[in-house]
Amino acid sequence: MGCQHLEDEYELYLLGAFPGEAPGDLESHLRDDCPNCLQGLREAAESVYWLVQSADPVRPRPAVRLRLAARLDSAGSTSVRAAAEPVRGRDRTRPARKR
Amino acid sequence: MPRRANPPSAALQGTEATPESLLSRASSGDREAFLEIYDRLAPRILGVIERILGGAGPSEQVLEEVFAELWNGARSFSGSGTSVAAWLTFRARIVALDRRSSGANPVSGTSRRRRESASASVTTGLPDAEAIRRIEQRRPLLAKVLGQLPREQLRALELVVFEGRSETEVADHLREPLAKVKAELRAAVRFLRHRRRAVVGSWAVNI
Repeated sequence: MGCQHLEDEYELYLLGAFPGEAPGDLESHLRDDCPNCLQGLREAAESVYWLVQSADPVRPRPAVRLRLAARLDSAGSTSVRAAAEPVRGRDRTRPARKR
Repeated sequence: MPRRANPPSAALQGTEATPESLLSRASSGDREAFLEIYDRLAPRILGVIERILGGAGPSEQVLEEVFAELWNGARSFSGSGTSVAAWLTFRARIVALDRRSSGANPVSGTSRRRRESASASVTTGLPDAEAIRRIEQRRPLLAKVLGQLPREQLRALELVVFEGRSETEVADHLREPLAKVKAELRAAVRFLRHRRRAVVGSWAVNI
């Protein structure tokens, strides 16, 4: 309730468009886990995906796939073990369980 | 030499294994399943990275890093319900913008912190696989919607999306009053939100 005035801020917030704190009381709504704002952000993330994905696809050179495949081979036995450990630190852009 | 690729739409829309089910197999060490995700999604992810960074060399490095990060986190990601394409897209944007900030095109010293804060929020609520599939099915219509934005709004939005500029930095770059840029950005996202709801929602609309 009472979050309609924040609707236009969600996408811009997710894109990092605000130089400091988010405008209005969005920051405090997020701190308080406001369900409306969290839902708004989830929906806004779909718009952001669409926007970012408006770039034209580019085919990578075959060498990139070869390098990646070699990397998987060398990391193969350790990667699964590492991934099974809890995510440390604040880098929440790493794959993590959905809340 | 540009290497424009056709969007692998069938890969995301067909009845074949989804990126999420492939990642589930990859989390058990299935390397071929992981490389299939790469084959399907790499062109789209590289498109985003190249739009931000320009040259092929640095962009392909970022592409490799982001996919390697996904491989390393496959076990914790698998079963989360989150879209693999969405995670790759958001992560690639953040890494490419950071690379851009630390390279020849610095935007501002606060950009990285700002993006980290925003990206943390994004990843607490990344779109699920079904939401992304709905968007992918309507990709041509959505592209048309972007083309309907007034040029000034689209330009301001692109500076935010692909150059990682804050609204203040957009105003400086365009030499426009901040209030005008703020209004343009909000009008743009409002328009896009309404159009997206219409296009991927359950009701038909002429656009």
